[in-house]
Amino acid sequence: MLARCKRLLDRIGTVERGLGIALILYMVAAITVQVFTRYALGRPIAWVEESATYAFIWMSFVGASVGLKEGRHILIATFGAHLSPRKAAGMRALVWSLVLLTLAVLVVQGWKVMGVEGRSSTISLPIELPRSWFYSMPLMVSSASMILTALYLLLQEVSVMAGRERAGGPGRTAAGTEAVPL
Amino acid sequence: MSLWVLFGLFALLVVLEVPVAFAMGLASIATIVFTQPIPLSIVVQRMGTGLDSFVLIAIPLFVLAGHLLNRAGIADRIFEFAAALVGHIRGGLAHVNVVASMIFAGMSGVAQADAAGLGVVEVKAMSKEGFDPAFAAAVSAASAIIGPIIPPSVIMVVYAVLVQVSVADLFLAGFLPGILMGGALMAMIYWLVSTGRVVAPPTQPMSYPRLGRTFVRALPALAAPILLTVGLLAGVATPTELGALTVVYAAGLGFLTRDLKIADLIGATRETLVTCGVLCFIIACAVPFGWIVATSQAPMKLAALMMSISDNKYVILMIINVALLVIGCFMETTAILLIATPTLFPLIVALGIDPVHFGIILVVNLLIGTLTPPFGVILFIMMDIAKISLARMTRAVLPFYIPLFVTLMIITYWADFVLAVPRFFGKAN
Repeated sequence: MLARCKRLLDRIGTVERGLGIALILYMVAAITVQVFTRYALGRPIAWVEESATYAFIWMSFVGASVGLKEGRHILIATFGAHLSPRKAAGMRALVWSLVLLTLAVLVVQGWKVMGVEGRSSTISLPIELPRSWFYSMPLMVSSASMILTALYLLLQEVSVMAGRERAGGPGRTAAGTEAVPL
Repeated sequence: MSLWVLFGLFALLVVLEVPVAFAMGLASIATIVFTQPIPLSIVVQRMGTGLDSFVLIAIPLFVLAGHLLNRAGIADRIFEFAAALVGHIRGGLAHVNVVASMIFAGMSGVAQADAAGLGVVEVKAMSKEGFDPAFAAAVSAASAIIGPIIPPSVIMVVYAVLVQVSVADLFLAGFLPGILMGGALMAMIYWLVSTGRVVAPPTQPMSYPRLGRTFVRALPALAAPILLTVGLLAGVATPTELGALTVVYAAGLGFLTRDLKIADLIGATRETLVTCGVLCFIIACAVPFGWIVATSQAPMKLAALMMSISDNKYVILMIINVALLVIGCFMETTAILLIATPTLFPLIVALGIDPVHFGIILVVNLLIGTLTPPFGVILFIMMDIAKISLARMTRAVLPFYIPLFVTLMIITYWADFVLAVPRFFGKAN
């Protein structure tokens, strides 16, 4: 059952990576064109900046979701490494439960906010779109996807606790930390 | 009350090894539920709109540019040029290491990229020549933090957005402190080698033909920081736009020299997606967190409390520096930046400290925090590259804290030095 979940998550991950890569390349292209039109044609295209910002918001949340799948969210290793494999799995199960709780709140509240945000629309895009498509929706979509990932990670730790699988969840580095780019 | 819940829960979750972003998010949610008479939807509203900033787009752009330049084999060329430039000084490749990092800093905005990209080249070259791998790793780690001080700098972009100052001003203000830090590290290396504390292999004599040859080979790489610097000084484009142009330049250069393939471009973009996604998610989660801190009036109370201890801004800056260095040993850099900035900013304004000057102090301080155990991201990366233990890595880094702290003190107490470049180009007060 876990293997089937993993395949589903991999598929979602592939779509997210493709979308994220496309959004980053769009930002590069759009902003370069913006500089070009400002100097070469003497007039910038008004909506480019706004669309690049929306692409950035989507990219951030999609990237966060991919980051969870790859175990790249930054955490500070404290005492987990000193626990027995079963206890460590128990601790991680608690962590994923708390992450699930956070994400569930974000999805439920995101749904409420979408209704309110949807009443106002974008400013300079060629077609008017509800603002919620670029604020609460990316957050909700990525939170929903992260719920699936966190559920999988939780199940995996539970099966370690039950002694069905070897300890050591996916994506954990030896140091238990991942670098955030600063 | 609400702040006790917020910070207490956040600390507890971090100790439980909950990822930092989720710890911030959950602590904010719980604080609102238990102590605030406002709807929970405020969290989602703040998170979504918190990333609505054209300035923040500079983050993925500079990260991508750094990845592309790394993959295009630029690190080797820069290292060769730096070797020809300073390899003859006593201490040889250790100085080369610092100079190469300073040049690389002009294209990369993240210390991790410098440590993980150039660091591999540096440690390998120094170990091969006979340096102790721990010393090689320590020099690479200490010099890697120059990366986000000399522009471009991802951490400066985040700070600029938080306090609404010009990214260009901050970038320009980073030049002299970055060069000062490099010089201070080189002075320490010279002292360590000349007093026999570190054994260094004999150096090669200076060769001008070699310098010329390696300069020409490194020229395409050197053009990236020159493009950025001229762009910033002339004010022809915003930092975000310069980020996009650097990406186009790096990709174009890589394809032209055939060092870069489409698969590399996709790989670099995918890596950028994850690193920036994780970072930006922390930023998004920090927005409601910072909002609770701001509305609690705590920053004002903190300002009043500190001013009652002393109204001397130098004393207060010293207290802030010490506090941040201690927190930096245990906490992750972005999280400290996102929490400390809104908390301390009213105090900084009340003391009449220039926000650009304070930004540089904060950035340098927090970057030193990436080199301090038990939680020092750069230490972890370098000990992994050099295959040494944390204890050995920490011992080797120890002497380098002196030049780093001296740099921090000079930056803290000599505002005119930090602000000289932006002032000269008429960009700051």
